[in-house]
Amino acid sequence: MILFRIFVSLNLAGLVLIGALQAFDFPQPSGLSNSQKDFGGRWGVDDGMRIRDCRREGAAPGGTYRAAAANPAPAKMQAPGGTEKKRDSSYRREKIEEWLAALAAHKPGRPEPAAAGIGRWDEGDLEIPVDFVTKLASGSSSAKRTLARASTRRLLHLTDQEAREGNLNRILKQGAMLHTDIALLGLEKRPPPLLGGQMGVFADGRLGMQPKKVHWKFARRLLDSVSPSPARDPMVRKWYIATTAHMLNQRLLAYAGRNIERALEIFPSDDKILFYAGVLHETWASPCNQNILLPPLSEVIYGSKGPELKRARHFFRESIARNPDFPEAHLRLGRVLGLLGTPQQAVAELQLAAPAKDPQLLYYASLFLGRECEMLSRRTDARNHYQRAASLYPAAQSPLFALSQLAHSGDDAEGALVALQRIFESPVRDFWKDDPRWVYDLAPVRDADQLIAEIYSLFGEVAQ
Amino acid sequence: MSAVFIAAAALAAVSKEHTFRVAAEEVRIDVLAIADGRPVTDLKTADFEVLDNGVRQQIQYATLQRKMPVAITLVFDMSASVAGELLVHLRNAAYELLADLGNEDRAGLITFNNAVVLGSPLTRDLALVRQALERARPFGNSSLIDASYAGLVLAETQSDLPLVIIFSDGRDTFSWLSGDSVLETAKRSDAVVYAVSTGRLPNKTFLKDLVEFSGGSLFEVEMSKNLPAMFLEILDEFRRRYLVTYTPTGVAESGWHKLDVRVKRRGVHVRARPGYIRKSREERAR
Repeated sequence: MILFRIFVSLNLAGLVLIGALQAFDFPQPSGLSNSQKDFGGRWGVDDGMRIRDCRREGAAPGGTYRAAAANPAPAKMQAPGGTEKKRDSSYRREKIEEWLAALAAHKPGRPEPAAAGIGRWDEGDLEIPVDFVTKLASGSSSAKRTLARASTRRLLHLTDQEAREGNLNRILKQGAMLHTDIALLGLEKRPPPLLGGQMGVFADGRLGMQPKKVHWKFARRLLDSVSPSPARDPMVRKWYIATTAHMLNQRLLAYAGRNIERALEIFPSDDKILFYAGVLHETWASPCNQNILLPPLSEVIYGSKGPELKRARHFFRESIARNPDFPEAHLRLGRVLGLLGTPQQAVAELQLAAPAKDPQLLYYASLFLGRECEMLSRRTDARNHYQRAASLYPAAQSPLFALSQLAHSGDDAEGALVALQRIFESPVRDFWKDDPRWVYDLAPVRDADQLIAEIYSLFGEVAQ
Repeated sequence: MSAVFIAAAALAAVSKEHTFRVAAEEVRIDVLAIADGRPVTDLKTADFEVLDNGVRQQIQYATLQRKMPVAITLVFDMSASVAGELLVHLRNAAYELLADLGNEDRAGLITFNNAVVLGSPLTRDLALVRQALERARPFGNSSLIDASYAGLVLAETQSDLPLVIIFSDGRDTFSWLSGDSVLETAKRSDAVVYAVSTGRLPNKTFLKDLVEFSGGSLFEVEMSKNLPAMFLEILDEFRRRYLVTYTPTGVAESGWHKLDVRVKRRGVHVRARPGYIRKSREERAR
């Protein structure tokens, strides 16, 4: 049976959503098999240079999920624009020069025409310069020989020191920033693939489709080649944290999943990245992503509520093990423990988050403590926590529903109605901000814009 | 059907128009009697039999609801998935339902997406309900469970026959309250819940459980243009239900009371809530 595999996430704001999931476990055609032997040309990258396997990146430029599953033939057969031109050395050089010119012209955060131009390239063309540069940065003997040539140094505008050391970090980081901005600034306007290349998008539990975005993965590939290793480069870490925060903030969960997966390979002990991994799985366990209407014979790539909550618990615990003074991780671990049916443990964790000074965190802690106390039949404590949450955000509906239901379950019909009346009498001013619970999934990345600004500054310095 | 333990002190009002039930230790069960798929409407009190936790009860009266004013709380999904033609049909269905109400009947409107909004309290001025429905705009996600809770509690504020009609695609994506907690609320409420869902729902869903606990029905419509006829059918069926009343005797005061309602006529089946929750005098006093 052929299954569509759709990576779903929720588009609460109607902005963007979901990801698709060939990238996770379908055999993906890389579209690079010929480029290995064809690459070389006047810059002399030889046949012995290993080409990075892009299958896990979902590199296929075309093909719906059905097509990818049923016919894992080389994607180059489906590549927009055909393959003949890709074999042509002059064409590749032209693309590499164009890409390098865009790099030189690009200022982080600015949608220059050159960047917009790269945003219109199809995936096969994008492979050309990225493959070229990452091979040169590999440190292999053939790469060193190529870098030693004056023509290569002129092409790349390398300094003598960069050429001598084989250090392409500046170009790699500029390239990563270029592709990051193409993704961030909405400059990706590729021609529609011949056979799909769509991402499932969920809004209000229903499926839609969007073109698949590819520039994040090119940015990652470039950073993977940073020397001496990406794991030892603080800029790479900051890039992963900022871009993951952005993806989570935009509810681009499929893309965030790929980012986090690679980030954990590079930085397995980073408390922030572990925390983001927990947030991702916690979000996947939410009703927004669980109560969805899928087409027949389709499935999502994430798990059901229980397994996703357990994954979230694992990552939050790992994060706290590295950084015990992390109130937001305690908060989320506490909530997850509650949802997993361990209210005593949940209360203990939530109490570690309760002293937080941030009113939004305090609101969450109070709300969740109320629920866990209710589970433990500590009704007075529950009421007090709910009331505290209600006092922090008077327009929030969640604590009032909680207070009303708590009263009703105690046969206090009047109390139930009074709390409900407060909901009805309070006009909804903002369907996203009145109640912080409505943006609980975004709370851990509310600093996303600031983080992006920081990497703009850092990567901008590299260009200078 | 609506099984209800009418305890109660007076409740605060949501609007000045509301009246509230006064304490009385009687149980009301809302019962639909069916034969050959059609409601049976010629039954007498003596035709009914009620077992409360297995103990036969003395029925005080069984009255056809057609003769009584109803209070209908409409709980409508206004999330993004309702936009377009579906919303047009939903509004038309509500307008036809309102047009079919009598002078003594009341209606109110709750809409839900991310938030739960009282469009109109229960009122005899049905124009207010129509206006509220015209103002509502689809947006965001579905707080179905929270809104169902609000509908149940709002329905309790009326002494008239409380009917809650929920329209949704049946998928909650945003509520704070849990489905189980609201099902507990339904066990304490005398409101009958009818639900209309677009498309077929999985076997185990909140809406299916809710209508079962309240003794109502779930209608799954494939074509939204059928909504007006569906809503009128719901009202018609509700008016053909019986209100069966008794004062519990020989059973424990508190806890879950399993109900078994029967009609002593061959070929007639009943639909009624499976039980209700009652608290002891001491518990209520606390």
